[in-house]
Amino acid sequence: MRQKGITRRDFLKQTASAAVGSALYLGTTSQLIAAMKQDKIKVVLVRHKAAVDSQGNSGRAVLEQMLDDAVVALSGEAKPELAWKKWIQADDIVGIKTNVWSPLPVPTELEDILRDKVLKSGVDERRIGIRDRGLLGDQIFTSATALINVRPLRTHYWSGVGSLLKNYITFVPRPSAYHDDTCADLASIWKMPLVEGKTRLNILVVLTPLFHGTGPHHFNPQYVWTYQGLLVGTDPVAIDSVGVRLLQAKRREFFGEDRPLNPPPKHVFLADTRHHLGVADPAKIELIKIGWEEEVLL
Amino acid sequence: MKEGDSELGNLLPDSVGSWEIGRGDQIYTRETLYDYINGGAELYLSYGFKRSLSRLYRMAGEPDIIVDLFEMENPQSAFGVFTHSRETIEADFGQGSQYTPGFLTFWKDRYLASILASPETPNSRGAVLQIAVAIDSAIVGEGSLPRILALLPQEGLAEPSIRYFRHHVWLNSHYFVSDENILNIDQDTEAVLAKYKGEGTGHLLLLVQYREETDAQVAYERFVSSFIPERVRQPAVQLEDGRWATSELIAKLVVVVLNAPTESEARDALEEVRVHINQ
Repeated sequence: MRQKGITRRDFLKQTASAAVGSALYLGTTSQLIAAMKQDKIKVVLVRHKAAVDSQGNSGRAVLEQMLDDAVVALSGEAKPELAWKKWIQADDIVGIKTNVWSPLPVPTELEDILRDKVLKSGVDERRIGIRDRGLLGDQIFTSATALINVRPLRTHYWSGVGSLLKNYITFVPRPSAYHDDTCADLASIWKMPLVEGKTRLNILVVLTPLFHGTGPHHFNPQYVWTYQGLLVGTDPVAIDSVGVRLLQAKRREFFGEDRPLNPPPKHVFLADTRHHLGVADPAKIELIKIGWEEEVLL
Repeated sequence: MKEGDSELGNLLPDSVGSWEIGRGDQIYTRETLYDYINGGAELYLSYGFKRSLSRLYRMAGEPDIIVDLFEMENPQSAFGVFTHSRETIEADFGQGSQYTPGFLTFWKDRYLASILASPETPNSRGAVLQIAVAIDSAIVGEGSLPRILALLPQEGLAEPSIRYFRHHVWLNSHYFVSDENILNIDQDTEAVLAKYKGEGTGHLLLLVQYREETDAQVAYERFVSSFIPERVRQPAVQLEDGRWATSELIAKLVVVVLNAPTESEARDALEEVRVHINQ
């Protein structure tokens, strides 16, 4: 057994990781490294003031425009259709991994939009599946050649955040097997043959994120805020890293003090440093912001 | 999960005004709690969860009210779970409660009650409060607080910040120290973490009480060597973020001061504990 492990001081000492350590682990962004302009991973934040109305309903037209704008910015293509055709081919079998957690599910409008985008890329309807639970019994997901990962952002009792990395936990037969050390090694799921290398697009839904949780359901409407955004990219670690920063910023604003995520979402950091799945360091992420700017927090 | 349980079920009302039970009660055990609250189950299990009952109240035109009643192994465990996310000190129900719109929780004896009505409406708010009154009345006894709380000096203590736990991961939840359990916190130890007012943001005080002095000695040495080895030759240690930490072994107790803004505040905090314990 290791006697020391990784301590708070190790994080603080690592100059190159100071931004990650402080932002993801320790609840402060005071040491963020000045952005460098090369070799960065793109993450697009798109927001629209009317994405979700006062009743909590999402408008399909607005969501589709947001997604179109995001994929254009992400891909560099002139039109969203061209971007989708880069990611999805007509002969793909496509699993859209959604999330149905009842207090904060993926809006059905967004699921429908994603299905349509895949259809318009030439994929037959019978080769498209949208599902959260029971993936291992679904032939589309077990034989998928392409995955689209979509879920809302929220805090989580055991892993700190429920975000894109964690969304694939239903690809394993016994999710609790990944609960050791507060889900530190969630990224290893992404190395399973069923999943590895198949994810073409990741969408972290930040329309109404949950920034703090209480009670057995870890849900309290007081801690949901209408942010009206989507975070879109190809690197789930980078998007989750941005998502963590967003939650930290909101918590700081709401509570009036640094209130680190509880527990710290170290699986996001370890997805980078231990599993090399993607990039968690904010200094290596280019955040492209589109649309509504009010109270953007990032 | 199984349906029905008269013992726990008897602690909840059958109806409240026009709100009626919406489905059969669901009982969860240590083996099945994951099925109900997957990620959240770890918290309850680490505090000695025994079983829980989930009951749904329904009224036409209103959001459902979900009531969960958790039975823990003892009152200290119920208190510990309650403090995990406590923000304020309220005592409207049971031995401590917290209400925010749409959610009410309280603890009493070895029970923890959670009442969720989302979104809250004027009707559901009234029903939530009535359900809480009914459960509070039905739980006859009261439980004692963890004894380690009495070791916390009172001056400057931010009482809502008190966190009581017996699993090391909950220390990291509130202040990340190490991904290893370098203080050897387990079910045989009691730990309490609290914020204290001081200069600027103040500091944190962590007390960990061990069953035997030898256990405390081993844990203290592991913590110092892993986290603040400089402590061997100096009274407090400045960490890389500029904050100060220190630690001391007092019989079966390991005292740790964290996140102090100045060396003097770290040292004074330690002295406060020494004085308080010897009173």
